[in-house]
Amino acid sequence: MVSSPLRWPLRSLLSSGNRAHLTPATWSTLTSSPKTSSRSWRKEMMDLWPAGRAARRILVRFRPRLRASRGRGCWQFVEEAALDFARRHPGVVLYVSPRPCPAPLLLAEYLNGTVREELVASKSGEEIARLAAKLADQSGLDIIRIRKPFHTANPSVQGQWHPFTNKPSALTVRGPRLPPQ
Amino acid sequence: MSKRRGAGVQACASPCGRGEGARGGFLPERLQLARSSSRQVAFPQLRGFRAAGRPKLAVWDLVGRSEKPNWDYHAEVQAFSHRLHENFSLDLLKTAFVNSCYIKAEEARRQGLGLDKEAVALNLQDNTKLSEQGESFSRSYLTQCFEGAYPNLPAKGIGALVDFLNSQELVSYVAQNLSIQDLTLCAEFPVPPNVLQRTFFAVIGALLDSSGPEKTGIFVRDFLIPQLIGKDLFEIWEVINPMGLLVEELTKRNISSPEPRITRQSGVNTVLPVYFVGLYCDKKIIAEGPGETLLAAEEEAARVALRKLYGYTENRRPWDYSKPKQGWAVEKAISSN
Repeated sequence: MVSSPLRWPLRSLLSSGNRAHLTPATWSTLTSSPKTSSRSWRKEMMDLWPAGRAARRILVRFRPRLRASRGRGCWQFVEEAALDFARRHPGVVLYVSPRPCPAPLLLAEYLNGTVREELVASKSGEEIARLAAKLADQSGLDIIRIRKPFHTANPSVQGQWHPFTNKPSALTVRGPRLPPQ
Repeated sequence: MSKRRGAGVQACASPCGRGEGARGGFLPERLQLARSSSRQVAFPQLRGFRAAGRPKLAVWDLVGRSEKPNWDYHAEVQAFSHRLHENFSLDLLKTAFVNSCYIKAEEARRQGLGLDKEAVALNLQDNTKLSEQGESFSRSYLTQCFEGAYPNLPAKGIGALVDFLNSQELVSYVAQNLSIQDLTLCAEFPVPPNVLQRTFFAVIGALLDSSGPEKTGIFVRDFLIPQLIGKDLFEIWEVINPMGLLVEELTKRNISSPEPRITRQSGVNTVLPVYFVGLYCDKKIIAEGPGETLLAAEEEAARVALRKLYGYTENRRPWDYSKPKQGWAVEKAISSN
């Protein structure tokens, strides 16, 4: 399948010592459905995950025959930028899958189960590299509008106001001064 | 159209083969049935035309990620350790993911396939020892952390906090979000929470053996202690008689027992009354709590007083995640194991 001289760079890449991060594989599938996220859950996730990057694996899927036009960017990415990407993101496993497919795409799976696809037809190699880096840096939380750019786990320091704050209690009795004891 | 697409599901005859340690090789037999049906699996996540009207391939939901294509176990394990910014020794880490139920199931399967005894025996060590090590380390480390941070909290309270942080639910939640359920070798899918808990502790045990107690302590602190954010003490620690406990605590500190008084009330004759009961020791207020009935308000006031005494109020200083000092009680952690 991968025999023409045009594909040599790719073949050497794939069979090189850096097997750990670049593995040709069969057609990938998606994992369990993404968790529904409410905004408060999202805030908790942002607070509670010190592991930083939350991307798990990124699949590059592209068609080997369509070298011109749509597949070109993918070839460029895999031949030039993919090893760099793998080195810079050691926590993300990169799978390259050169097989017949309707459209070349990047599939990113995240730690919380979300899977994101980005179509990369007619994108240049650099754009794909930037896109892959962006996907690798994202957490898997849904991309929704952030209502407020701030959040705190301790909203009140002196105590949440309630209607009885600062009102005199029933025990404060205004009467004649009590004799000194 | 579907036949051509279906052919694409076939195992990839890639010249470079798959990485070592990948499970399953090419598509396992039971999934070859899927070949003839539509290759495009319609997932709920897919938006757009591909999602419309394609049959869902239910068989994909029955198997773990490791049985689906695009999986290199060794690479995934390496990426796992890099993602956590920890240096694991990979052998220990791989051992940590092996569960005894997996070994039994695999041996039974091999026997069922008719292999002879030498081929049946798997040369895999399971993770029970690592898991016990990890669990005891995590308990002792967390106990020490809490004893240092909340010196007034009694042993039962600290025990309750540590039990909560090591409970199956919480630990399996943390493990799932670290993608341990993909890497763990287990007989069943989806991985049951007790297996996830055991595997997580085994990972901690592996880290303990690879990097030492200090780094492991930081790891435990970073992943388990944030789960306490937003939680109240008495949500975690069930106390049936807070007033009795309060009286005990006050006698230990030589303070007279509290007298409850109504400080505020509203809507007494309605369906939604609210009473604020204040507890006074020596005529000085120690706590005030609201409730729908007088008894409930008194109990709540007792709980507020206990929270103040133990230093576990909502406005306490947040947990200190800065680097621990050198020579922290590492020796204590080892000796208590």
